[in-house]
Amino acid sequence: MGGLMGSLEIAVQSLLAQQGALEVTSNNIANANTPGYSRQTPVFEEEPSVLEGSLVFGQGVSLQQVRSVRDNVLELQLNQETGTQSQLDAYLGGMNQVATVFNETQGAGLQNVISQFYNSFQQLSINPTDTTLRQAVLTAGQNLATAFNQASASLGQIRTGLDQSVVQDVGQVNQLTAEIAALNPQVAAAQAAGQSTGALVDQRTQLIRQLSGLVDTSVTDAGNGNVTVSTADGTPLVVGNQSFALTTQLDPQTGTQHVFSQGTDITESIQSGDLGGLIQARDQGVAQAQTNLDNLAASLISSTNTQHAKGFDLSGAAGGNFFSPFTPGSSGSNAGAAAQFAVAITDPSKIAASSDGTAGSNGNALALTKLQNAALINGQDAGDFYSNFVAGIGNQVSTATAQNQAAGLVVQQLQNQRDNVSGVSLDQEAANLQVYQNAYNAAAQVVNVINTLAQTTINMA
Amino acid sequence: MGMRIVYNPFTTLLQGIEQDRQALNTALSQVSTGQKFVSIGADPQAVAGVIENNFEAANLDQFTQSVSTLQAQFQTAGTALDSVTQALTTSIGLGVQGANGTLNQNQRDTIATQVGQLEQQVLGYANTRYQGTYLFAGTATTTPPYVQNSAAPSGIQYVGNAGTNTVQIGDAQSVQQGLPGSTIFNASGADVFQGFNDLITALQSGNATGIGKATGELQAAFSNVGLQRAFYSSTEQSLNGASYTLSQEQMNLTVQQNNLLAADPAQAITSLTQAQVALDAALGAAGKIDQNSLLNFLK
Repeated sequence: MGGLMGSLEIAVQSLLAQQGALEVTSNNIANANTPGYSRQTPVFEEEPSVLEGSLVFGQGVSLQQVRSVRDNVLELQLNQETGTQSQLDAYLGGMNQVATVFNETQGAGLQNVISQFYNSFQQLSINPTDTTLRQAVLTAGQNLATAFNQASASLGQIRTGLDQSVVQDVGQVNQLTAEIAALNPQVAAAQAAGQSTGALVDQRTQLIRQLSGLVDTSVTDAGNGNVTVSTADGTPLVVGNQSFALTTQLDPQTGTQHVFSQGTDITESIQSGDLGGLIQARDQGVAQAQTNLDNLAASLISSTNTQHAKGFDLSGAAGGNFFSPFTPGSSGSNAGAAAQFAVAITDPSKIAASSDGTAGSNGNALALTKLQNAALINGQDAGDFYSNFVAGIGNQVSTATAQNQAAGLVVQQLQNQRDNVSGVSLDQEAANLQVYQNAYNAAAQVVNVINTLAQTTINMA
Repeated sequence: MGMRIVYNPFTTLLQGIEQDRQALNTALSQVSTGQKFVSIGADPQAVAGVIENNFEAANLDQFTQSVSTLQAQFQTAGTALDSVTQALTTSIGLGVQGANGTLNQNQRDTIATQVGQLEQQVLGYANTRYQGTYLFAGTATTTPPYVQNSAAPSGIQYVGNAGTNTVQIGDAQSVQQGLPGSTIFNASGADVFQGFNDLITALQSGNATGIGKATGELQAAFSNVGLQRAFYSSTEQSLNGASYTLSQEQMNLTVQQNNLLAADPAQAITSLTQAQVALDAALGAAGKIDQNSLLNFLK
């Protein structure tokens, strides 16, 4: 359409286009601090020209679409690193608790009670008939047993806490996958209708980010606006509009909650996210600490009882068990040794300090003292084994701390990169605001001029 | 157009503040506890050393306590044996005196009584106790090792045993806790109580030859007691040496432990000051961040 009306039409279209651009800018500014928001840009397009005679006239502008600016590769990297950082956070949380149980730098742990136990026999060896010293040996034995009981209970509590967190995480995973599954068809429908999908995709991306913080995720574009989400080993979590809920089930062997997907135990395959870290801390860190504690307890019980039985008590009778004997499980496991650690005798005269049956002999008390330096576990004495055990926990904490700090920096850098691509720059929005305002003012001025010209034309009549 | 930068200074600043607070906490902990670290994850290798040192320190404490107890025990035994030696010396003198042909029987009877009293004293020393333990009973330490028994040849019977205990006073050092009374008082040909008994009998019967023979027995017993006394003296010396070595080891261990665990006070205070300054600077910077954007200048 040529003429004044055509020009008016072009000006009005321009007004609408600039108004739309202003809306986009306003929305960007409003969401400047919204997590996961990807800035949007208006996409203007020149209207097709028309030929009038030998002349070609432009037909103005239209706002074709509002596009979200997003780098999908960066988003995937951020998902992955978020998962790694969450995994390390959770693992470190669990291991820091374990480290507290054996924090020898603050006087916690077993060194003192182990030393006191052996030294009580050393003290008794000087005067083996002394009832007070005999009672001191029993007390030291009870203190040793109690310390092992408490350490074992503390590890059990940590494991229970991690176990409960696993269940909570699985609940959150299911909630998130259900929400993602609900968004998939909405994105697909909007895309099919040619509508802007920015807000919906932002929402879905943010949910996937949260999901990555809980469990390792692999995201693939299924086309038509849908994404498929699975764990790193391929366990499906979301396919189209369907989410596949994870479940937890108590494992009778370990007494911990295992994670299942459609009847398959996927616990060991979960490597990343909070869930991965919790499982790693529970099944590896805490479990290893418990195994070491049990092995140490079993060795102390067994070696003490064996040596004690070689001696004679105050009445000359052969020595019995000093500690309640522990029978390893069928697989040779010492599980439960620390928890069941207990002194078997209550009568101080039953301590078999004598090596020849005479009351004053100290030979067996001395032999019991020397167990402190005997190779009890893996060729190590109790002290060396324990110090290596504690240092091992310290190493795990130290390594995880360093990795966590590094992962934090990587996440921060990726987040900065994402912000540089998708974040809202208020400076840029202000400039855009000025540009669109000017364009709107100009278009409005065109309308005014045409209006004036139209009036002039009417007045000619 | 260059790379697009989204101005978000608070994220970086918050990270900096967090790091500064961590540094401040570490420095505060070092100043307040005197330790370089308070968690086993801070320096696992050092922690292993600290634990091993604590085990060793506990052992050294125990060895030191054992040495101290043994020193007191050996001192008591030594004093008793010195008294025995003195009683034997006196008795030998009385024997020599009793062998003098100018003495009448009454005078010999008087000497016999004196010798009998000395024998009782020695009997008491032979039954010396330390903290409820009979020191010369072998390992039968709960009952007096020497009892009067008229059926015994000397009238005093050893009811202890020949056992001996050893006590650990170092990782690789032990000492014998004492000698059985039979070794000290009843050595073959040098039996203290047989000597006393024979001398008293000879004095009472006025048998000059017997007095001389019995005096010789006491001299042999005297020599043997002196010989065994030397064991106590040399062991006391060993204990004194061990005590010194243990105190040196404890000192070395303390130095090692300090190297592993103790914070350098000057460095800790400096770190604290630096961390405080850094944190104050970061917090101050947060307050001065220019939050203006182009929007503030549009009209």
